[in-house]
Amino acid sequence: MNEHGAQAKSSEKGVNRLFSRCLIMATRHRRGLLIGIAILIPLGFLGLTRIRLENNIEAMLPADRDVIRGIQFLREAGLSDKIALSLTPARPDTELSSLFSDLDRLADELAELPLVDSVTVRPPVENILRDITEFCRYSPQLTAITDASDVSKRVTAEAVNQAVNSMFNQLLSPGGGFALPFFQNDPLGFSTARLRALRNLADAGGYNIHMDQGYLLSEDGDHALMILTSPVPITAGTQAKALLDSLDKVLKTHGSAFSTRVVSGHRHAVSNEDIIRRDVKRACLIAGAGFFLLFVIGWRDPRAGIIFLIPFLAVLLAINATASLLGTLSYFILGMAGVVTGISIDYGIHVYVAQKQGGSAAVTRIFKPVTVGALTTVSVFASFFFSSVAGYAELAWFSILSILLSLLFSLLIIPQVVTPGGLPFRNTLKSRGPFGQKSRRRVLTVWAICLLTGLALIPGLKLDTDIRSFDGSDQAVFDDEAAFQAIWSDAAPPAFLVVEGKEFDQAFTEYARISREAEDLLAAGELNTLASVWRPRAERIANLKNWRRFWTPERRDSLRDHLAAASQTFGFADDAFAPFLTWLDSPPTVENPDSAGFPPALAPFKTLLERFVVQTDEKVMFLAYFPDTAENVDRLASVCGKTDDTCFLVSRNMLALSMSRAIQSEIVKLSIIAMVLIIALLVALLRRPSHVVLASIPVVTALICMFGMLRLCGVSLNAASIIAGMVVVGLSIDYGVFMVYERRSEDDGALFTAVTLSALTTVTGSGALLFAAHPVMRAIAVALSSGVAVGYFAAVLVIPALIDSQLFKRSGHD
Amino acid sequence: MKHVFLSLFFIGAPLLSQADDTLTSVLKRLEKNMAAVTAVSTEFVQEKEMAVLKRTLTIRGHVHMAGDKFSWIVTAPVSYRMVIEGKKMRQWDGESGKIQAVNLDKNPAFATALSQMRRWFEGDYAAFQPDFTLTLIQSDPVILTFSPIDGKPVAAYLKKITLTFRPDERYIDSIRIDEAGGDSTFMRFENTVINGEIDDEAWQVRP
Repeated sequence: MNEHGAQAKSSEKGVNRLFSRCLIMATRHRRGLLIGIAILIPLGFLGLTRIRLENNIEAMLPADRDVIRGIQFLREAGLSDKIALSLTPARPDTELSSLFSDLDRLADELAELPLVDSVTVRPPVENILRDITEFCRYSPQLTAITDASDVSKRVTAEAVNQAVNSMFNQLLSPGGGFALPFFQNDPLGFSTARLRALRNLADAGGYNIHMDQGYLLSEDGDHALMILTSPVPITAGTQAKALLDSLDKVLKTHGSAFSTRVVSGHRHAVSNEDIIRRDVKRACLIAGAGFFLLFVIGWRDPRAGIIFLIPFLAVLLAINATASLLGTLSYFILGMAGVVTGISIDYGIHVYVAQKQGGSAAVTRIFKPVTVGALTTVSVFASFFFSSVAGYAELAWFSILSILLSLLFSLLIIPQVVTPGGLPFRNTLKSRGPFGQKSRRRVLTVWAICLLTGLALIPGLKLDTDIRSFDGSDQAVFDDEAAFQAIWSDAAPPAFLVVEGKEFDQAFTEYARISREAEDLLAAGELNTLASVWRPRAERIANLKNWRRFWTPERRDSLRDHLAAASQTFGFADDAFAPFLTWLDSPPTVENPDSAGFPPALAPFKTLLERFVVQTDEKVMFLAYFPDTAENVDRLASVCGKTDDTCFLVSRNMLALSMSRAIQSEIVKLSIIAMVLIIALLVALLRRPSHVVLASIPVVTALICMFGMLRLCGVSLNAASIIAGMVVVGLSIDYGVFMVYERRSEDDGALFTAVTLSALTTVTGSGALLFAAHPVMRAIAVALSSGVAVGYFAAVLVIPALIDSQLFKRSGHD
Repeated sequence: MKHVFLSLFFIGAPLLSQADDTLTSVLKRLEKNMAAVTAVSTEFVQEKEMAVLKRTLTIRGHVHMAGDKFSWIVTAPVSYRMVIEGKKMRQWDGESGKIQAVNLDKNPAFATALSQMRRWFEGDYAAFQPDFTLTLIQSDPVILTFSPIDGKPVAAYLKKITLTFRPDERYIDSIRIDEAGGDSTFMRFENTVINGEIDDEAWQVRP
């Protein structure tokens, strides 16, 4: 033994002595310790009932600036908080028009629900004309009038005659009289451009809706659309469920009249929550049954149940502690409870096996490797604290607390409960002796082939950045959305250009400027912007000034004469155009905005403008829509890039790119941190470089093979796989450390037995999630099960084979 | 006194019920008769009394309807044609000689006005019930009035619509529209041909 080895042995003895004293103290206070534990269990359950659980996908996304901004915008804009109902007659032989009264009744009943703010079944189309007519009065503020402008061309005798003729023709058409007030106010069409722009804004939603009797109907006329708004955010699980239940109740009472599809973000939240709940329940049952079979029936020692009880208690307390620390707990973290139980049960197994084998003395001997194993796993989870994903920090707290509590309880409680002697599986799970040259070569060859195959497969591994991969909603939710899309829309969802600011007019001025630049970069009509309809205050003041300057008394008199002549020709009354002439003389002034900064002229269009203006307590955001293509996003990114962070783009394509970039950098960052922490710990605890290298072999093998396996199974790498990868690292290094100790300490096979049982329990824990319906859970399960299995085999086969090889013998492994 | 009220109630209730049954049965009968109508060609005379016009405007012309096609041809005082096929509307006037095409989906207000007009002609009166109170004024020939229900948006611009049917109840004889602002339109149909052949020329927007 060299100097290094002697120092390590002496330090190990010191640590073991310290633990031995703790163990003696625990034995002295055995009764108090067990009573304390017995009290903690009901308290833990009581605490569970008070925890606030959240189902927030954002918690699982990297804190990349573009990703956060995009997701935050989608949330603040409330674009996904609306509920759309697509209704069709329940009986195929019934005409939808015969059910219009029923539609109104249904809308009235839905509007009465406490969690519903408003129901739009029939926008008041009759008021549209009045509102549009009123809006047109603001044209002088919105038109840059000059002597050479379009307005000048419309005031000639011929143009006026043509305009009045057109108005007369309108009277000849059936129902044409409805537009008369509009023509009386603006017979020369000064506001035509603004009206066209207003109409384009209405089309910006990308939905194919046609109106019948004011109802919103699908193109085939077989479906009616109803839009509900609710104060319930889509992430508020319990309230979202209450909202959907109340909707369902009302819709059922109208089931004989309508067959309804409900499309809403709330359904995703509720469905995800239900599925995760079911998954957790199922995983707990499967894992519980597996552990029961393994320890109670397989070992035939009822006291082996303590091994299961300890991680369960540790997880229970860790859930409570994490929730108290952070205020809330995510459902995803709760779903990880099974995995963490599978990890933290390992320490109990080691202590149990040691206690059975040689009582307190044996437990003291394994104190250091078990603690090293636990600390390396803790270091892996500790690296999550450096992650920008908020959910990972939550996972780190929960996992570290679970592991440390489980380690502590295992080391101190199991020796108090389990009596030494009669180690089960002794003969079946026996460590093999030193490798012969032939077997060694065979093991190392298979290992090399696995590594090379894994390495060859890794480059083809796909990174899944679609946010929807986190969505495990029931298929019915997706089916309803697909059917809804097929009925109501034939266009892909647009991308958004967003300009934000603290104050309405200041932000709108910037928005109008950016919109103008953006319009030049896109194809004609591709940008749908509010700036095409409304202009900033300063510009409106200037326009109005020019308007007044343009309408000289001579021009007004000339126009009055032309109108009088045309009226005579077509039989209009002398005062038919009085509203128009009054308007020319005194157009509306630039009014003061309302308390929110909103111009009163736009108030009647608030419903329409909701899609373009989002106001929160702190800021106002203006939206423009454009087709979501990579070229458009590239072009407009250059416009936003020039601003002082006030403009940004939100596109499905760009969000995917940003996510991809963020996840990649997250993987690299966390991997480096975890590796540094693990190596530092191993060097500090194992001391010898050869031991550090050997203990790391299962990790490297497990990761390479896990990624290769994911590629082979056609599973993409996503943020959830990072968690699984990290857990695989933590566990595999445990196996490495234990097997190095096993060989070094001339252990009689107890460590091998414990490592094998540990791997089995972890695979049982993570394997239980293979039956999960939620994609995140399932992805974690596939990665974890395959990684842990490979890590285990690398530890129990490759490490001994390498130790027995000439290479390590020469390097002084003893 | 109590007995008087009870008597009135027992006597009045069947009468009220009978009145309701009469309106319902008339509506059913009209809808049944008009459902058998697959094509209509008729001449019309329309008289508009409007505040913006110096005198009553009398419009003469033809209406043709078949399937999703609808044509409105004005022959006097000027030439004007409007043809609707599905959601496309085209109009032409003799003065300018130009054709204007309109997508009705992009003009919800106009589309609503037109679809309502077509419903009057097609006999789909149940669709009006959410917004109107229907009253049977006379049974032979049938005269119905549609009065907007207070608070409904339509009440802001419409006062009453009166439909008079032909004695054979297969089609409308006349329609009168009284607007809330005082304007009114009266339209009489003459020489109506039901389920006859409609010449292709009827669907041409330019004569």
